[in-house]
Amino acid sequence: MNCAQVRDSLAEYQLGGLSAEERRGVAQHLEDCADCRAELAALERLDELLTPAERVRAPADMWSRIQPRLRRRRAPWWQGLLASPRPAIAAAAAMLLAVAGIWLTTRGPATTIETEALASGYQEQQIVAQWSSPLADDAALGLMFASLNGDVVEP
Amino acid sequence: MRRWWTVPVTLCALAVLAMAVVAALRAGGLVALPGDVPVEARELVERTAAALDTVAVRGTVVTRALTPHGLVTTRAEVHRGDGRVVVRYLAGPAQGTTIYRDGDAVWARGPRGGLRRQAQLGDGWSAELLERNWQFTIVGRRRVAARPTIVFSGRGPGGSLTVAADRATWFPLSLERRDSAGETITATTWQIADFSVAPPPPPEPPPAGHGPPRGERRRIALADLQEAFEAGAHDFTLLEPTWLPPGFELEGWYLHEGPGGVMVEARCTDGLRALLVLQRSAAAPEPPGGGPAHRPGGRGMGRGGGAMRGQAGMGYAPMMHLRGAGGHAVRRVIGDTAATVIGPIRAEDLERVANDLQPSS
Repeated sequence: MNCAQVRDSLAEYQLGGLSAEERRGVAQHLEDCADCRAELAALERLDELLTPAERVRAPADMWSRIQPRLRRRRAPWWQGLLASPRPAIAAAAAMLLAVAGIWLTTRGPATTIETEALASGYQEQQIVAQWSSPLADDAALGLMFASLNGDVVEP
Repeated sequence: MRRWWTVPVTLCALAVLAMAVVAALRAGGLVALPGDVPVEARELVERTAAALDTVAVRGTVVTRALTPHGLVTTRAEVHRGDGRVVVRYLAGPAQGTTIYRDGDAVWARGPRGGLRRQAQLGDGWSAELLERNWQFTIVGRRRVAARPTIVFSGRGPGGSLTVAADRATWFPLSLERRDSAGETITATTWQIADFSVAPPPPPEPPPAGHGPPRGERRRIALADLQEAFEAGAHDFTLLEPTWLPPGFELEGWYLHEGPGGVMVEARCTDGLRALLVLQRSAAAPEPPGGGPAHRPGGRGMGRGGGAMRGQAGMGYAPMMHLRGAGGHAVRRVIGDTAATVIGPIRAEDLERVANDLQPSS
């Protein structure tokens, strides 16, 4: 038997639940294996702890002496909500609104940036077309052209 | 026997007649300035437009422009002549940026010389539409950059344009455009102007394939465009505007071809303002920046010449409000074509232009 098989059988070995053949195999392994012996010793200590102690009767006034010393236990927060559901519903609605607000505000800039980039492209087409007009103002159109978003490549 | 009041009445009648003649001349845009040959306002427009291309001048300007950041005022050094322009901004959001224009190529370099943006302008518009749609009058004289100028003003459906043209060269030393609400869109006034300089040397253009993509824009006749679409060169249906706001006319068609794909531009104008109808394949993803997009699937959809596929499948996109030169933009998916109409006109007019697009035949 190897260690894994022995350790699986140790509890039954200790309680005397194995067949004679199995018991011999485990005993033989235990003679040669210090680790499994240690495991068996640990099981035996646990068994001692689990052995029922002598049953004693509690004094009749024990509870009356303990109860005043106990602190009043606070009810869980959710029990209060269940007791009065309206504030709970209001709180849930407020939370929903807050989540929706956060979602909208975080979503807003992304959409705006995308739209701005698109608008910038269309604006460029418009500026370029305007630049071909007979009285084109190069300085002003150049300022518009240079002020468009994106495409900034500096060395 | 002559009555005593004959002389004063005659003098008054002559004075009234003289005033009426002057008023009539001014209303017609024709006025004789002291010591000048009478000049018609439209002729001023032509001479001024020509001077912008030919006159060499160097100096500093104060310029204002409605940009995506709002109305911006800045100073700039300008050197121009012989179809070339170099503008270096001395302050404001574009401080240190230099704009180069050489023929129909324009590009912007940042303070450290990096290429920031480039575009191809295409052909210039004829001044004819401007003269036809805008009523010009000479409004007076004033000194700009210590030089005498003639000031004339144009009024059109979308606002006004005021120009102070140098008396000696006809070069516009002050140009101001306002929208119909009287708000400034662009305004540039020269502070110092030296007309004794040579034109700027040809600037070194950005090397091909360097910096942000430019794409190619070329003017193309509608017939050639239709032929290309009939031959299946493009995977969307060519649309034509069938309604334009009063005063606007179709100026021409342009084909943008870049690494990302093809975009067709129908450019309409009232002479001063541009109204663009941009078309591309609806199958292509909307490119960031609105330019031609990469087409991952290549061809595969039918093409123009026949009935509009999917007219019932017109897709609407929310109107975009563009600050600066743009105005508004309306986007529609009509069949296999994604169309965007952009212009500084009323939103409902843009909507109507978009809704009345029809397949070209």
